[in-house]
Amino acid sequence: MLTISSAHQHQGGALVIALTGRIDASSAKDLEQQCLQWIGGGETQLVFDFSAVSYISSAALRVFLLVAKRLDTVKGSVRLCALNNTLRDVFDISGFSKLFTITSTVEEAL
Amino acid sequence: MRKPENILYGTEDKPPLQILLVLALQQMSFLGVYLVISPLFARHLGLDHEQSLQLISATLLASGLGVVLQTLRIYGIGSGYFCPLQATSSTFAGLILAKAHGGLGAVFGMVGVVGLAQIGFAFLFQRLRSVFTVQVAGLAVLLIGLGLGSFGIKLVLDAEPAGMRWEQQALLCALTLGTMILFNVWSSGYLRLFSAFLGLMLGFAGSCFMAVIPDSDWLMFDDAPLFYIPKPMHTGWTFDHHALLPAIITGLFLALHSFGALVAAQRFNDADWKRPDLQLVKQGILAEGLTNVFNSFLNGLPLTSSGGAVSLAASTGCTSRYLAFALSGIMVVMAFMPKAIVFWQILPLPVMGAALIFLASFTALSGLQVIASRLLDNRKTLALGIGLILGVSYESVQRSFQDSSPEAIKTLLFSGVSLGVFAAVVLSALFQIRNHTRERRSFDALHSSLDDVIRFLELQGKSWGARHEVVHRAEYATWQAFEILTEHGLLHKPDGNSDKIELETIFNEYTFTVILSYTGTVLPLTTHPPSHEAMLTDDTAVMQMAGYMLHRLADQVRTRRDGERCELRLIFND
Repeated sequence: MLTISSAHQHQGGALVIALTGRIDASSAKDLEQQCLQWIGGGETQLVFDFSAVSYISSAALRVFLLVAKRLDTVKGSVRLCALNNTLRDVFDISGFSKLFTITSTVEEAL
Repeated sequence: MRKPENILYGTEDKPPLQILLVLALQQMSFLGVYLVISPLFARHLGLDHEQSLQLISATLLASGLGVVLQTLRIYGIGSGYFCPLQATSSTFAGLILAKAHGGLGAVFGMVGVVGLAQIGFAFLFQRLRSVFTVQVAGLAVLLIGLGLGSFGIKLVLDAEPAGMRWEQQALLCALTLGTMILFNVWSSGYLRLFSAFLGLMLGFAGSCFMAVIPDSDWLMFDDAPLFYIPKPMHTGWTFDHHALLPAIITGLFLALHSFGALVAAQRFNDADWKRPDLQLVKQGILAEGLTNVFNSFLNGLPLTSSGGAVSLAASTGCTSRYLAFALSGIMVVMAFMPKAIVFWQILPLPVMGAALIFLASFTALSGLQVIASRLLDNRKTLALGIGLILGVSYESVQRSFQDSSPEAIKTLLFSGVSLGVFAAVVLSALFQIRNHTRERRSFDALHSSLDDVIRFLELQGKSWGARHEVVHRAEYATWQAFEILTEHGLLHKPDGNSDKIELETIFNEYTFTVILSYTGTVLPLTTHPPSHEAMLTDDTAVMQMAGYMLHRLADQVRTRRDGERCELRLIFND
């Protein structure tokens, strides 16, 4: 079960997306759809808050890769924040941590 | 073995000679308090001043040999760690029993049997891996710390320093402890290395300034000769069969106490410490047993590993084996110097109490960390909890048994550490009954949730006493495997209804294995991740990435196929 909530930090600034729960294969599809909607709506700076995420699967990794590629074409950026040790390990193991700016807090990412 | 950051000179490092000598003096100044035990025992036996000095000298000579034997690690004897020996009043009950039946010679005969018993228990302990667990080791270290701290508080508060007012006691304690803390926390390098010694010296100077050392003590110091020749075997050696059982029981508890001190030494010397090395524990107890056999011929008191000295070495940042050689030299020299022996006896107790409180903080917290690093189920919680409660209530238990029980039972109450560890070990052994090392459960692949899997694995982790991070990794990898099997059509539906995944856990001392059995296709594992491009364009790349992640999350991954049945085995090292 994954809950997605988003809020702009300030006018024209980054969109902070707070994720809560587990990002498994089925919830990854919802997340992908939601992200593509934001990008289609003109969002170019996405900040994902992982502080309440307990699990991320390989299918979910693909979503973040897709989002990064899409935003790259419009000179946008993706930042990942507050990953716990296991999630950080997963990003490191998969080699994805090199693709993203990873910070320990949301404030640091803004 | 990685040297911890707070250790300046590790086991194999060689500090400069001057530093080494001061550090050895620092150790001696701490161990000196246990010399007070010898005159105490001498008083119990009605020995005169000369005999009392001989007893201390013999004990010092044996200590000097023991600390080297422990450190040298030759011919399978000695742990290789800096772990000095000390006398302890806890052995008095057994020794007095021996004296009552066989005279003074039987006391020293009993010391030899204690040593032989320790040697026997050293071999036995190594075979009892399932009860001498990491948690029991943590409990032993915690109890050593609590015991030291409690003894320290007792010396500061309950001691009866002749004519010393409570304000003076408090001031001496604050001066000593404050100096140690000041140099340990807010300084580095040499000053931190000598923090305990500086505290003791300042405490002693304060005692002189406040004139709290009684004149009779100074007189005793003045009268003591500077040098004399110790006479080993001053009393003789006999064996009395009445002392056999108390000697074996004392040997058991000395060995349990050593287990705690040796585990503390291992923990303090290795930043990546995970579990006790029972081979080295065996070698350490062997060294101690042999020392006591030798000690019986010297006519000294039984010796045991000093958890306090080990803590002192760690808290001041020097656990070098070379320190053992320097300390041994000082002990041997001191055995020839009655004036030096008497000097340690006149050191005011609040000063020594403050030092013990300082050391106890490091040890107790270290033991607590070891216990907290593991998941605990009800069996382990009860075994450790009851052991801990008995260990800290040692004095009350001892008081209750003091008058009402036979002498042989009194030897059971050797120390808080041994009482607590004994209880934990016996209960751990008892709780092995119906404690399965293999568990199997069937999960409905489509309707089970991650929470179900986590609950099952968490339960197994607690029963095993695993580290949190290992269980988290196992949960993560298992659910990743579940997801791939269900999402990528690797499961067949033999009953045409729902898919079942059998989850089996096996644990032993070193590994936690999760086996997923199912009907279907073998999960593809790969040692290389798919390219980023493939992840976006190829549907099978996500499965490849999962296979690669399993490879990396688990320490070993194996797949097997037997007809339609497939098996994925994930092995995690603890």
